[in-house]
Amino acid sequence: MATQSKVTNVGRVLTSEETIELARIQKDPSVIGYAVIGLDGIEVESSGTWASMIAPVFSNVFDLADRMGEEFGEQDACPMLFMESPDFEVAGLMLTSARAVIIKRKPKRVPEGLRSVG
Amino acid sequence: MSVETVLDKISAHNTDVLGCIAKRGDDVWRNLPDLYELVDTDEVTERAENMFALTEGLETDHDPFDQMFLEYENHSIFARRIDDGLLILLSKPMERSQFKKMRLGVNLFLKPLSRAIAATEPAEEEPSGAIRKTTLRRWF
Repeated sequence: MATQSKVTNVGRVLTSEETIELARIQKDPSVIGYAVIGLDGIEVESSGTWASMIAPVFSNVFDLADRMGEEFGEQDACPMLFMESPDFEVAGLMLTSARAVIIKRKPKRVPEGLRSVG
Repeated sequence: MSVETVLDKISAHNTDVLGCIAKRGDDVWRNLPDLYELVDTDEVTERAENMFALTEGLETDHDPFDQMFLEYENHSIFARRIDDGLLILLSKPMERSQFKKMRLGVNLFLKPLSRAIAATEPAEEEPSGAIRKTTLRRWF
């Protein structure tokens, strides 16, 4: 799941600032993958085979988030969502004309038995 | 403590919290202000469950995603899987970093909520032959 640095096709849908920011984010050692998804739900770019699984999944997740917001009267698409598991964090961000999904590995959990020490 | 009481306490513990919804199976408990009277809680909870379900296949070797935080222009929504169901919390708009501080308080109510839900008799199943609104039916 290592992040490969290949910000190529994304230039078509990202602004130069967003492209630079995406490249910067990838340097974070806790980031293990990313995907850029067009507003049509099609993957534009991802950091590898595993990350490419993210695009179809999160395309649907974004869609559900948008519709959940509608229930509460939100007019616009969900600009930012985060999902968390004990081991991973995913951030989904609305960009100018695409959505980005960034996956981070959380710092290792301290074993339960050691938490009370010190 | 009843589920309703726990939801009351969650809603009251922070002034930024507007209300909350809990779900187990077909049972849904809501504690939302009148302004949100028309909100379809079945739809909301099902969407949250589907969002969690969609991510289950991503990392089969690890624990599944069990929390999410959604930032909208006028609201924020936190959803969390609990033992036997789901908690959804609606708040005023806030950034996730701000919410993380508030979440510590919310976490205190998770066990009481799980216990209260577990102590409640599940809703009766629909009669056989009835067409249920399953996840798949919503998707296709």
